[in-house]
Amino acid sequence: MIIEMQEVTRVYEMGGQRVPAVNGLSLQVEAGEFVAIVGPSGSGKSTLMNLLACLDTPTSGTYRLEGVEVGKLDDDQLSLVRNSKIGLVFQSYNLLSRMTALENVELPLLYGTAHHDGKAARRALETVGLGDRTHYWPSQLSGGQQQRVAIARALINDPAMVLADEPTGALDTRSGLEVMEIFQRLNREGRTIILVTHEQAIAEHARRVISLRDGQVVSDEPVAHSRQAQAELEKLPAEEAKR
Amino acid sequence: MTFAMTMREARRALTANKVRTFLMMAGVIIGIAALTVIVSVGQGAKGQIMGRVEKMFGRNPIMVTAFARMEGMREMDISASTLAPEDAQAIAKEIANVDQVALVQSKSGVPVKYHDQSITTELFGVTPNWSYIRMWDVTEGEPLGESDQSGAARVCLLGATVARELFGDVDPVGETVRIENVNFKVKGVLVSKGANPRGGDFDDRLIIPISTFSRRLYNVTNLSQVLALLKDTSRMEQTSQEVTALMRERHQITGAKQDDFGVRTASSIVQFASGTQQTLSLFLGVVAAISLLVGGLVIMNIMLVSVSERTREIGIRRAVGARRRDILRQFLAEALAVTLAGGLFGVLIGAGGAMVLSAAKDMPTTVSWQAVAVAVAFSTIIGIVFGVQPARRAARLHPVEALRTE
Repeated sequence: MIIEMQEVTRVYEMGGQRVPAVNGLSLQVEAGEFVAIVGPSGSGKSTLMNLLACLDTPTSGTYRLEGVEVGKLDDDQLSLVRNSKIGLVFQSYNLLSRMTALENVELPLLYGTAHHDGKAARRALETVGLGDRTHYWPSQLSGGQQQRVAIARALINDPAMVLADEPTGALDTRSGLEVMEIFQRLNREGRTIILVTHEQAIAEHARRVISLRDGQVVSDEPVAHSRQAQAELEKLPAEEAKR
Repeated sequence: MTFAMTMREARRALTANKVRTFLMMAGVIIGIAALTVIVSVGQGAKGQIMGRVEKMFGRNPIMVTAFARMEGMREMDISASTLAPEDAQAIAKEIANVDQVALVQSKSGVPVKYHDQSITTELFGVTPNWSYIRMWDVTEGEPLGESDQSGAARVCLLGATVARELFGDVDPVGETVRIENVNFKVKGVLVSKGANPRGGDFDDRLIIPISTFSRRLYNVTNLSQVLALLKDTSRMEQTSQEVTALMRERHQITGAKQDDFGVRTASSIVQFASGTQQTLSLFLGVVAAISLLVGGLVIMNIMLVSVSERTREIGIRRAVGARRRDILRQFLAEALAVTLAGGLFGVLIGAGGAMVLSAAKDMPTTVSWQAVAVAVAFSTIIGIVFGVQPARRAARLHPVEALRTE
């Protein structure tokens, strides 16, 4: 069991009022799953995402990540968990503009304890099909390419899971599908993927969909026939190569 | 994160906005340059003082002068002196660090004639070891010897000014001059020493054996000055205190009663005279303090702006595992990189300034490792003091809030 959430609540203070963005939510994710979390805006997706990513801690309830109770960790320990166990992918890529693609991928290594042979970042970029773009600046790359650099960065420390928050939200259809193809490939190789999205079509690439409303799980169902990004890409009308 | 990585990150951030980085550095550059000049001038003055001590006072003796008059240079009328030859003997015998003493009697306004040339000058009666202690040789003729002393010989040495005024181009050695209407044979001419620390003329003097001074000319035994040569000049301070104590005891001066003698060291006299450097150093010290303060505030201000501009970057770094202390270290390193680079430029500019000052103002300066050490120390202090607050603000940002910023 990678993720085990029990009655997790996260309350925000807003203008003197206590608003529970996540309200008594329980959730379990096994290693190797591909889970999509969906819901309208205000449903608590982002808050749940921040909790899962150990960027934030629950107000009450327990969250165990690989058996470790996150709520009991101090700030330094949380940083280490983020560094070594979680690969984060954001809607807006969140690359550092003054670093090359390769340096962006290496960024987590600055803060980690693991030793690498110096080629790990290059290999991660090759995994996402950007082995020939290592010394490009983010501004020289397309949105889809930037997002793939971000995925490579998420993979560099071989995390227990990849957490993606609306990873296709800023991308056109083709680039979005390319990103989903990478996630599906990673999942087939055994990687646990958790995807937060508000697009039903994107969510259907996962093998399990959890719907949120008002900070609670309203449905949690396996996807009978997942969309296959590879096949969808082949069906797209031929167009000028984007890469 | 290693030190090298931290510095590489800092360099990356600083080279991204060069104009801003230069603005951050400007105050530190000016401040450190001023500091470098201060240290260089100070060091130069120290070297010059030691050089002057030797030139003016020879082997740096302790000078015991009758009455506590200013700086021991203007010897007074010795008829009023209370400084006795026995005092000199006691200093030589009872103070362990004293190697030997030279006895000096002097009188100013003494008339000297050669043919129809007539001047007045200062006349000194000295023991033969005087020229050794003062390191004051003759350029022509011979110095005074033991036989001149024992025989109270009527021989004299001329200061360079006296020689020029009385003799012009004529060679004075072997000629006869009249001092207080007594004939003296010129035995030698002293090396020129130029101006003394009070602006007077070291070369306007006549030297005769002290025996001649006290027995043939004036019939006095009291001294105007005793020069005590030390075995170990590094214990100058301590020895001069011993001399003072001994003299107070001998003269029965107790409690708050005013000394009737003065104990001076050559270095203290020369130091007193080097007031120009002190004024300059004070001025530059104010410049340095203001520049470093303003420079530090500019750094703090720009760093705070930089932290809020880079909030998202901080969020990203926190998201991939940077701890608070990693962020703190990163921003502190940037502040330190700015101040240390500014310090480096400041040292270079200051060293250049010190050399220009040397050339233009005839002021000796020494650019040494001390100047660099002072620069590095101040740069580091400024970097830490003014960098820590922005760095702490950066480190305290909550990752979720930071990532939400546009």
